[in-house]
Amino acid sequence: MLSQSQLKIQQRNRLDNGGRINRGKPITFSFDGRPLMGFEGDTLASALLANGVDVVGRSFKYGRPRGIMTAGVEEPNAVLQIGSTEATQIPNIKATEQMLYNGLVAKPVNGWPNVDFDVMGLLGRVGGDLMTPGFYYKTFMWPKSRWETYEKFIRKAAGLGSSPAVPDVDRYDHMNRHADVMVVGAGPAGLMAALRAAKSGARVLIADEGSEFGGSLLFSKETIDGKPAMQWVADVVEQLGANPQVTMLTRATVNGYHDHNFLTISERRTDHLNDRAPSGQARQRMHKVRAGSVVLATGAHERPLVFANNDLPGCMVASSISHYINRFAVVPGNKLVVVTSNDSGYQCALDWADAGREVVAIIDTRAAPDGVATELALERGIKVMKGSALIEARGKKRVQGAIVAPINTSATFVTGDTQHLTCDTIASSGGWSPAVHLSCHTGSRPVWSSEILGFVPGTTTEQRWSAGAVSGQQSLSDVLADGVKAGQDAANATHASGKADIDDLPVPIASSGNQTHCDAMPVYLLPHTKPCSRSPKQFVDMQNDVTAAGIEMTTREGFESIEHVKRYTALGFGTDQGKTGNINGMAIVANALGKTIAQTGTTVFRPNYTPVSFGVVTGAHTGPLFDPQRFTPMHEWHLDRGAEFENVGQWKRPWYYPVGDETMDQAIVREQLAMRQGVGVLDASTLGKIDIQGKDAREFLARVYTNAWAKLKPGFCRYGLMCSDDGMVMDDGVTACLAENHFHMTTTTGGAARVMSWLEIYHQTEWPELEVFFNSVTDHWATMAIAGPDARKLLEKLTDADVSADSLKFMQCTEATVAGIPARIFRISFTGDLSFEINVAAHYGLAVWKALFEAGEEFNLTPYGTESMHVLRAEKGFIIVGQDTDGSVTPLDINHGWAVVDSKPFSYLGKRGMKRNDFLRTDRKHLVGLRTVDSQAELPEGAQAVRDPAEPIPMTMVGHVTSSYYSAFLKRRIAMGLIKDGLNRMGETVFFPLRDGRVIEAEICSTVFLDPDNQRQKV
Amino acid sequence: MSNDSMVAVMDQCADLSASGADAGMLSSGLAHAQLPPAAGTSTTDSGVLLTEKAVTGLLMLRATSNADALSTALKSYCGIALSSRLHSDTNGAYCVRWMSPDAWVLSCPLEEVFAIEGALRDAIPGHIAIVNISGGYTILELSGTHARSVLMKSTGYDVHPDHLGQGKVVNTTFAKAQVTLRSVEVDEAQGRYELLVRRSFTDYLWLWLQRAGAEYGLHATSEPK
Repeated sequence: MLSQSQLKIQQRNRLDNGGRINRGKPITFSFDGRPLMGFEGDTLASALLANGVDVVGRSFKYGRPRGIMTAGVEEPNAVLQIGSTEATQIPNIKATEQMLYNGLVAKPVNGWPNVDFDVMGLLGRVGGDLMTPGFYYKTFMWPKSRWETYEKFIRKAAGLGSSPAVPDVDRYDHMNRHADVMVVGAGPAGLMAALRAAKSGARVLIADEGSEFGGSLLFSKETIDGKPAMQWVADVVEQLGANPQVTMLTRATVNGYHDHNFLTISERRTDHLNDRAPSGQARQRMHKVRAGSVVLATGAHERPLVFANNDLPGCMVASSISHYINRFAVVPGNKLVVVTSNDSGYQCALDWADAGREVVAIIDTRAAPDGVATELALERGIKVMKGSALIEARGKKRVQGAIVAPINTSATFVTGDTQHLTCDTIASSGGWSPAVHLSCHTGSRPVWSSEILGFVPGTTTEQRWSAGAVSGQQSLSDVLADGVKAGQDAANATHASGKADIDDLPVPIASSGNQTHCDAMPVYLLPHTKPCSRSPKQFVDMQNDVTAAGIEMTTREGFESIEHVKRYTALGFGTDQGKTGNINGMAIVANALGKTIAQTGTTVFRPNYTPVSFGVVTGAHTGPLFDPQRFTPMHEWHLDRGAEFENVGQWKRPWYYPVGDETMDQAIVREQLAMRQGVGVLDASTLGKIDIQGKDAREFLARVYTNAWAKLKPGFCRYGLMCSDDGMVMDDGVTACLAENHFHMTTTTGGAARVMSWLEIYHQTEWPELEVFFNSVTDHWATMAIAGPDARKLLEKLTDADVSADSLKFMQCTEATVAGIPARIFRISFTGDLSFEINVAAHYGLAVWKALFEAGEEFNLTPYGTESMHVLRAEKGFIIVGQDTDGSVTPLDINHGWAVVDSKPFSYLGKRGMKRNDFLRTDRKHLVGLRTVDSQAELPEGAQAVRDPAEPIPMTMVGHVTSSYYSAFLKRRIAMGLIKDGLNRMGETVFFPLRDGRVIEAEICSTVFLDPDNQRQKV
Repeated sequence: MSNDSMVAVMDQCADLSASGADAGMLSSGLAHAQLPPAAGTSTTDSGVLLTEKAVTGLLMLRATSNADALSTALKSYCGIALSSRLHSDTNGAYCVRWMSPDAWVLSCPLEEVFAIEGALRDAIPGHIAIVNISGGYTILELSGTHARSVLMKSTGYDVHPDHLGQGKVVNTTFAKAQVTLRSVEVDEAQGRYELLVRRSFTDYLWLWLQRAGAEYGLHATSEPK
């Protein structure tokens, strides 16, 4: 380990004074295994530059060394892997965005064995031409056999980091926010917009991706209202903070702008603190914002100029140099050459000179720049070479020199001799590209402005304003004024307007005022002495290794649409989405095609603006919270009893209750026999239950069920079959008539919500004249079904009601108390045996359930789960909607013609549907029983039936198995299936050829395997 | 025409003393969580306090053309009329919540449910529905300085006091469940909110609220019956 002082010495590019860093708080971190030091307030990028780290990665296609190029989210090169443990690995972190913390471990994402000596780099020099534009497409096409070889090579080379191989240890969550005005970006325009909107009484939310507010002011030397820019920012932040209606978010990137002013923000809450979030805290949070108005103050990204070898470490965009010097007190080199097509490129040279290091020259592509910027540089004695271009960088792993040449006035060719300038840093500025991304997410297309040489936000259907650099303002004074106006307009457009009376907010005075400037020159690709295709590589998109020559070649191959060029070259793909390269690429396409940039247009910007973690998208909806788990009032008992659970919809239902080391098969055999021979109990609380009241309740039932309800007397129950309007079976269940105008409907567990909606839809839209109300009482009633020959004996011990065979007949119901608790008892059966369903209010459910077991001890009362329930009902031929039906069968198909009554005075749902021609065929698939010839042969559910097992493939398939079980009581396998013409072919044999070659033979029979005379349930 | 024979009105409240049973037979939706009793806990102890209310009597009241009559009857029995759209009204142990244009939920002591249903039915001969749903819901209360933050993590509804003022009621999505959210008491600094939750979803919401409230030091209690 190096000592602190040794580590400090490493920071050779750090200035002794200045910057928004805390020299009192040194921070140690590592890069590519090397221990390094920075300070609190550093980004990973500024700390790497302070330590003189030139190479941070290798390019994916050519393996060329790459260095930090920008200071913001537009960074294409400094994409790193961070994390000190496997569980906290994060790929694709931009060093320019990641704040430094103690113990941060960073690694390059590509380049092995390390970035300084890279075998791919060697490969790249000889093998780069393997991967011409359209490489993917060409190799996909031909030769097909080579793709597998190429793919391994490409995947390995193209890797941008690796995902953790173990589950994420951090937590994430979501927060919903509502604002009258949402301001995106807290630079000078955003701050003024927020201030102005807040003063008019609006609820304001302002978010910025940076670690502190200020935007471009973080590295500005200007003064505002006479104060240093960041002092002014601090004052504004204080004012905003004092207003309870204002919410400020830092490290919060507005990543998506969706329809109706719905925006998503990913906030990095603890990524700046540590590898892992502190206990109990969310690492990242997604804010879902519903805003009345939106002000986009997203700023602009400076464009680099394209020249030969412009990817060498040491080539940076001009403003980032000011950023590193002024904000972080880091000068990323010793000798600077600036190449610019506009005034803003000059500032970095002044800052560089202020830092006491050498500015070799400013190369201005304009023939006669005459703005204040040029004057200032000349006053400082800086050499300005006008009408010239930097045409090529020289160096190996760092810039060592620059080739400069005079150019013509349209910057298309070199007009004179070249000269070599010795330097280690090249700053370039090709102008500013407004960050229009969010403005485009809702479908708005950006508009080319030839005045600022960039795309600005286009028209929108959203209540949206843009302010500052994103809308094309370039001087600080204009930006501030634009912010005030946008804030005012945005607030006025919401209901917040008029809440507070204010005088117009004065526009702060910026020191730069309205100083004269010289128009920028439209230049993107700087010429070389050689033609584009022959010059050293001129990179447009660093992350995807897309060159100017590659783009020109693509247009020669016939790709003219910018969307096609993008996909053919990969221009603008990648984690940076081409923030630095896109406009240059479009300009090159436009030039090659003889069009303007406006004609060429842009590709489509989609969310997200910058990459987001999966964790923040998922939020807290993970593990047990992924989806609600619904529990019955007796769940605790089931857990104590060691039940295994089955998911039925969102419910957790006991599946079976193993005793000791029982397997599932053993447990359900025991459960079935206990029920058939004694008494069992099922927790049926999950059944859908709907209370129906009103004088037309009976009529309504007759319209939604296929069978008749007119004569069902109070105290009686009836099975009902429900069809959707197409005549297909949709749900079934028993409905009890509690009183003349009062019914208790039950539905399948999974169908409860659907049936409730179905009833409401028909009531509200078709038959509003019927006086009836539906209320869900699913959760209100705890339901326990006791079944078996001893069920009555058990119930008699606990109830005050007469439940004898004569008093409470099969399909009757009564009020009673059970274990002292008021209850409704329905004598209905889903097993075919004597059975009572006891309903009590849910808060008594557990108590009554326990009382049943206390009283049931002498009968060996056995709890059974859904698996046994399935077998028991199948023995009796009872269907399960959704298992034995699939939405394509009518009541007649499942042999439920007895439940269809066409003579009802009013029609019923499904009546017409059922009468369509195809449903009148006699050879439709029918639900029938399947008795395997070998009583122990298991017919797999889903197995396909054929009539002739000898028929050559493809065989004529005539149906499939829907339910198949081992019946412990019958000591054989039983099954049901949908078989073509089955009801007319009783006794015939069908065959089930299985995947493993076996063929199972089964006889078509009745679905009722047990007690066809219904003696057991009527005792 | 008497309603009595037309609708099966049933006293579902157990006479626990008569049956020899005790209050332990009554288990709330979060009984298994064994939350400590609420007594002695103040909301200032933590940023968020979650309290499970004791099992409460709940009646679903439905009416369309007879809503005025039902309102009058309710007023005379409980001292509160049917609430207007998105509102609730409280009088002592009675609270009525607007649920939809033809539905309200009345909460009352569990023992009074049967009597209230009978009284309301007697007062209105026409088309209404009254359903005892006491077992179907759990009432949770969130209070404290960060109660609103927990709500913001859980629902897309705007819970700012300007929008969810005192007494307002909304049915909304909460995490991935549905709740009836009522603002009981709010001011700038803190709020008290009631969540009327379907019983089978209570455990899910309890887990959700524990997680959402962890960073604010959520403390959970139960109100003893």
